[in-house]
Amino acid sequence: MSNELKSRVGLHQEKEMIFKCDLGNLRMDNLYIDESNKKKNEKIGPSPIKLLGLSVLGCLAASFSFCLQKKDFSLSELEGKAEVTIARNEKTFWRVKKIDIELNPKIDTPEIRKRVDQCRDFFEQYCIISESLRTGFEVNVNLNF
Amino acid sequence: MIFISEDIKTKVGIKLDESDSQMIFKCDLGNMKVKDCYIDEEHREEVDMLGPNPSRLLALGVLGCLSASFIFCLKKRNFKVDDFIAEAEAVIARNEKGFLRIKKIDVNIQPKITDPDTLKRAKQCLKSATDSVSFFEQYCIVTQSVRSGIEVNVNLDL
Repeated sequence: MSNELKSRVGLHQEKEMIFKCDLGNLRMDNLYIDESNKKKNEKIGPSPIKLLGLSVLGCLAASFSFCLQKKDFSLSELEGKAEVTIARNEKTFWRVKKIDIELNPKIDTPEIRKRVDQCRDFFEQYCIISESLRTGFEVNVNLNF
Repeated sequence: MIFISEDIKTKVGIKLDESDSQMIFKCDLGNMKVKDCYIDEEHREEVDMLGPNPSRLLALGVLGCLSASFIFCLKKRNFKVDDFIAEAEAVIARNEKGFLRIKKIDVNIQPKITDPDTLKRAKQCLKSATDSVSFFEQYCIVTQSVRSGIEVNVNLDL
């Protein structure tokens, strides 16, 4: 087995259930997690559920893009969407039921299309996050092109 | 797992950043008051990273959820902490097939509490609710949902 890789993050309470993230020396130093404000236009940061959705989506998008890059292809556009569904389990606790992912790459040439077809079969395996979570809930991936 | 309620859905989006990189994405968080949110899988050095990578985002999701659950547990009885910091470490290793996976997330929560009544309530929040999991952990949706696939160790210093 390989050596382990470790990533550290931290947070500090700003007010009630609003937390300022500590991302070390990252160039982004103003990320908040906001579980206090309920209205979208009042929220100053994503909720933990949205962070989970972004994590899975970002990982799958990067894995897909990386698969193309391995053969020197690049995308002019790539959009992705994640929908996290939660529901109460039999003990009435809210749990994640599934995450639906949609990836929409813009395919400019037949060569890229061919490579995308090849990537379709295995890019998910290289996503650390989705494959780690799948034993707990469904992660459905829809690659549209 | 059996679900007994209607579904609640939460949406997020990303878009490939316009830079030359193919591994940096701008977040779409709808109408939220969030300025620049990027997911950066391009850079390896922290000082170069425009935003967290997916592993850090997952760790933040778990950490933020547990922190909010603990604060909420105190708040239910109108108690507040004097100060609150927390950190999470995501450990990644290769599985038996050679793929990198999240092996575990270690969470360390450090509230500062001087008031004895608040401390008493905090200890109640730590008591086991069901399945030998503490009250505040049971109410954290993200942690309890990811635990089937990822070991999450929670340490709360009182």
